[in-house]
Amino acid sequence: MDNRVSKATAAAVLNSLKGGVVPRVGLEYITVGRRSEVQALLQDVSIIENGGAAIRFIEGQYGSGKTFLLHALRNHVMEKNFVVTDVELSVDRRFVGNRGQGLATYRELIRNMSVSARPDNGALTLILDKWISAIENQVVQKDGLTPGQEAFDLMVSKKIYEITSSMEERINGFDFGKVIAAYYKGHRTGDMDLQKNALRWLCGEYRTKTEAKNDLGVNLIVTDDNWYDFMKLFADFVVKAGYTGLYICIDEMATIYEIPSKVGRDYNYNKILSIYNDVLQGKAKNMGIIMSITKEALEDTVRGIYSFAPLRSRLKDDREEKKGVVMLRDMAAPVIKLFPLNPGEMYVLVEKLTQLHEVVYDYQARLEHDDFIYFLKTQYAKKQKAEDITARDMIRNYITLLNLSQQYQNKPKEDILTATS
Amino acid sequence: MSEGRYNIPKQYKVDKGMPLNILFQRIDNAKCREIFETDVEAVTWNYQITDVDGITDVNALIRQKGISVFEVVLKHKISTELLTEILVGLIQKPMVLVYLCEGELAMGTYLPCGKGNSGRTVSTDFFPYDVSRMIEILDFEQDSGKDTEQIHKRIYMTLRQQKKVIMIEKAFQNMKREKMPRVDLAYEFSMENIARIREEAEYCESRLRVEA
Repeated sequence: MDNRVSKATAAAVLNSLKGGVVPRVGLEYITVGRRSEVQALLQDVSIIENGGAAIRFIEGQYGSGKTFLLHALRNHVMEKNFVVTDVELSVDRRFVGNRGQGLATYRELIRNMSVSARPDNGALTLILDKWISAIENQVVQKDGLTPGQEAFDLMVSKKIYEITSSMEERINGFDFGKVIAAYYKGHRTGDMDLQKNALRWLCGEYRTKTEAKNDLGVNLIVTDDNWYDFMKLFADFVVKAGYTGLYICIDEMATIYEIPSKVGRDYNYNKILSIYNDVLQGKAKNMGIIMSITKEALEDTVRGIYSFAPLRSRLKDDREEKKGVVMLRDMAAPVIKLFPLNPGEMYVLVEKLTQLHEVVYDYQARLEHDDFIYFLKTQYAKKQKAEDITARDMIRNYITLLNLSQQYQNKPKEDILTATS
Repeated sequence: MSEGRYNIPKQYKVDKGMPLNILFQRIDNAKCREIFETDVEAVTWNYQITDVDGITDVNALIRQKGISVFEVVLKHKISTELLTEILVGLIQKPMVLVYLCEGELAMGTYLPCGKGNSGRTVSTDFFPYDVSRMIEILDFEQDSGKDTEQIHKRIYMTLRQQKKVIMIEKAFQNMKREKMPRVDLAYEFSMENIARIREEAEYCESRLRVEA
């Protein structure tokens, strides 16, 4: 492990894992057994950096590390100057729904926009302000004008409108550009209300077109039907604003599978299909979408994504398993299957957790090779089938063991191992 | 009023919780009563499926002939056959029972067979995979244009089929489990294997970390 891991990062990682949730930081230090997956996803990142788009489904059982991988990638691309955003789907947030669930997903995505300078959501205003000041700086440096001069304002406005009008040819781009321009106008004239209205519009908070027309002069609002087009426009805009691209993480796709009515599920699958087609047909640019989904929610032919024939034919790996022949994984396929960590990988993971614990508490852990093996063997023995044990369960138990062994240094470690195993 | 969780025509939401203490008192067998008292958390009369359109009053609705859908929330899993038998004894009417426990679901139904006959019951086991499928047993497309008696017969047959499917799937699941190859822990924890995994983890760390 890298010695540069800070105490704060190590503590954040251990605390989150102990609570059964995926840490927001330091994920790279505990990424074990996911080499091929990381390689494949980083290949996508490279495509997005070069103006392309990518979409992936991460499939795995509960606690197998889907969210972990999503967050690891999120952090990575954020450091690579991407704008990242994430949403956890739920009863109230879907791709489409009859109670505005699609729009709710969009709102959450906009609210959760993050950049490296603001890693914990709410980065939209920062992106807009940074973009305006970058243009202002450009005008100062290249054109030799200074703020306050009328020529300065004119030149900045010209550059702003050049960018916003370049978006007009895209679907809904005319109104989107107009609203961005309105945000700038509010910034320039000190009209806070205009800026707020523009932000409200971008966040999908306008309920009626009339209201939007009155406030901003646009005839369009973000709705359940068109929200994905706006995500594409954002991807386009953030690149113009100096970022590398937009990376969208969608977690808990199993929520769609749990929709009781077939009609409701199929509407959502249809929306996923149009996003999938859009991304792979090259209609989207500088945008990556990564979605996590459970095996049942994907493969169930009655209710899952595979119940929707157009998606099944696109996503399903139809190769048949042959006896005695090792199935080679195609990591370029749209679905990446996460297999549970095997015992050797779990060993390395607990070893890494021990090192993080040492960093947090500044001590020399008493647990070592034989103790790791003893712990893992007892965990596997608890459940007959190794596949039943998720990394999440194992990690939580092990951190408890580490905590106890550090807190009760005077007790023999064998006693603590026996008590916690 | 007809919009609800189950995809059935002419369904009306009742949403009437059953007073458990009164229900329990009516169970004759002391052992069964004890099981009910400790394991049943709630019984709710959720829907009434009738052949009559346009009912707006719940009191009128629950007096209508048809199929009553009850949701039974359990604290622990117990035999659904026993539960169905007892509930049929308590609530003598055509009904569909939906048992919910630990995120899993089972269903049962009681189909009366005319006066003087005891009627037929069927109930499935709990099975998480079928949470999804079973809700759609009540199917709008199949049931549209049919009366409640026909719908009830279809539900009965579907549940009987479902019961078989669950039994077969469980049997296969156990067979698969028995045939699972044992993990070679000696190899897994060998220094050679661990060194390889460490190396791969280092690779991931280096690729995911972005130098400032």
